[in-house]
Amino acid sequence: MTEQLPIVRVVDDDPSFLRAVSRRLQVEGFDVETFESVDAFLSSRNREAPGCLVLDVRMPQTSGLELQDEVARSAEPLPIVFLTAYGDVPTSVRAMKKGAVDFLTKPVDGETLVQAVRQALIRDRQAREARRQLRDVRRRYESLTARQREVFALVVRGLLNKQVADELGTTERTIKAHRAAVMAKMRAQSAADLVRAAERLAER
Amino acid sequence: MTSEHTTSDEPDYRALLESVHGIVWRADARTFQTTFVSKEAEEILGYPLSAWTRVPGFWAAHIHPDDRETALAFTARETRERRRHDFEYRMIAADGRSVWLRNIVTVISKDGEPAELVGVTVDITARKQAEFEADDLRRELARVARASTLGEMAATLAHELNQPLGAIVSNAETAERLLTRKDAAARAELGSILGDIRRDGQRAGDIIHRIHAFLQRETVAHGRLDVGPLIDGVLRTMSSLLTSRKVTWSLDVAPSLPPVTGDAVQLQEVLANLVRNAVEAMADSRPSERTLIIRAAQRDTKRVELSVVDNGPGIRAAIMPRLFEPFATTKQGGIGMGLAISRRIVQAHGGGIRAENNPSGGATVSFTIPLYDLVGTTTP
Repeated sequence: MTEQLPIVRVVDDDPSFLRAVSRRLQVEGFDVETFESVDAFLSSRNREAPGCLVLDVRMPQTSGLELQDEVARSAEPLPIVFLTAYGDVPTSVRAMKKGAVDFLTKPVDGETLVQAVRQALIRDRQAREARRQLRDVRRRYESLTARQREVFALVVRGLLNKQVADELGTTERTIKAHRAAVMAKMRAQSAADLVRAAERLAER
Repeated sequence: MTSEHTTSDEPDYRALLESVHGIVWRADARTFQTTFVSKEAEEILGYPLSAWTRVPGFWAAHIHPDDRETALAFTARETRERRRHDFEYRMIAADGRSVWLRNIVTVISKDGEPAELVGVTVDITARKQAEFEADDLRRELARVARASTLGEMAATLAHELNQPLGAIVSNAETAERLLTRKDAAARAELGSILGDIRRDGQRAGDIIHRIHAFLQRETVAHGRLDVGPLIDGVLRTMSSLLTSRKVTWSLDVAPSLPPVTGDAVQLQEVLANLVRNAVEAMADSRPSERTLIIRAAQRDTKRVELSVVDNGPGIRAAIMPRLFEPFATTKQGGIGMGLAISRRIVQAHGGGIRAENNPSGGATVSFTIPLYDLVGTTTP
C-alpha cells in the first residue's frame, strides 16, 4: 500500500510556542508542519492530506473555532486537537460537540499532547478508510445500468431470482444474468456483501 | 397687633411649641445652660424636662463624647460672632442610645453682646442611618470593583503567561529526550531549544514587569530628548513587523523641532505601542491600503505632539470612552494593557494622550510631551 505518512499541522500565532510544540512532536517521531495563522494553513498545499490539526483556540484574525467550521466543510476533514491558554468551559463544550478530538489547556504536558495526537491520527485513518469505501461503493453503484439497479434493489430486499423476475415481469434466466453482472460490478461475493453495500449507500 | 391680642394668644403659642416636631429651647449664651426646653425633648431623649433646666451643664454633659468638643467649640465661636448657626451632632439618650441631632440656633444680643441662644433641635437619626448605609454600600461596591479588576487582571495574566510557560515546558521535555542522544544534530537542536527557553523566560518576566510598571507608577527620568532619534529608534525596532505585515509607512516630522523632556525608553514604548496597534488595526485591510504615518509637530509653546495615523477600520464608538482603560482590548489574545500603560507613561511625563477617528477613515492616536526648557533646566 502506498499510503502517505500522516502530517501533524500545528497552528498557533506565537512563533516560539509553535517551535516548542513542533519539536516536542518531532522528537516523538511525528511529521510536523507549522503555521502562524489560520490563513497560512488554509492557503497551504495538500491541506487535505492525511494527518491532524493541533490548533490554538485564540488567534488574531481567524480563530481556531472558525477554522474548525471551515475544516468540517472540506472533503477530508482533519481531526482537531485544541490547545487553549485557559479552560473556558462553553468554548470547549462547543469544540468537542463539533467533533474535536481533545481540548487541552496550556501549558500542556507533552505526554497528554502526544496521546491526543495519536488518537487524532487513528481517527483520521479510520475516517479516511470509511470515506474511501463509501466512495468505491458509490462509484460501483453508479456503474450499474438502470435495470441492474432495479435488480440490486430487489435482491437486497431478500427476494429470490424467481420473485425478482415476477416483480420485473421477465424470466428467471434474465434475472440470473443481471444478478451476475450486479455481483461482478459491485465486487460482491455473496448476497450478504450486496446488502452491506446497500447499507453503506443508505448511510448518507 | 395690640398687646391685648398677644395676651390672649399666649396659650396658643404654648400649644404651638408643643406640637412642633422638634425641641424648641432657650439657653444662656455664656454657659449654654438650658433655660427652657419644649416637651419634645422628653420624647426624643427620654430625660425629664426639669433635668435640662435644673442640672448645671446638662446639655453639654450629654453630648456624645466623640462630638462634645467640636460641638461646644463650634457653638462658642458662632455665639461669639453672633451668627445664626446650624450643626449636626450626637447626644446620649436616657436609654443609652446615640441620637443624631441637628441644632438650628439664633443668637440674641443685648447691648451688642450675645445674651441668649434660641433654637430648634431636630432628630435626624433616621436620615444619618440612611447616609451611613449608602456610604457602606459605596465602600462595598468600590471593594468589589477593585477585586473584580484584580480577578480580571489575574485571568489576563494567566493567559499571557501560559504562552511562554507552555513553550518552556514543551521545550524542556524535548530537551530531556534529546539529552539521551549524542549526535551533532541533537546538540544543535539543544542549543536552539535553550535559546528559546531563555527568551520565553524573559518574555514571561517582561509581562510581569509591564503589569508591575502599570500598578507601581514608575518615576520618569527627565532627560533632554530629540524627537527625530526617538522616532528612528522605534522604526528600527518595528521595521520587521512593518515589513512582514506589508505596511507602507511615512514620516511627517516638522523641521527643527525643539527638544522635549522625558525618558527615552518609556516614550519609545508609547510610540511602539501606538505603531503596533495601528499595524494590527490594519490586519484585515488590503495590503495596498495599509498605510501608516508618524507625525511630529510643535503643538503649542509648551508641547510637541506625536501622532500615529492609520488607515484601518477606525475605533468603534462603543470602545472609545474606555479606550485607555486597562483590559479594554478588542484584539483576540491582546492583554489590553498597551494604551493604559501608554497613558500612564504620558501622564507621568506631564503630557496627554487622545484618540480620534479620521474623517477619511482610520484612526489617529496622539500624545504630547513637554518641551525641554520648561522643566526649569537651562538648555545648553
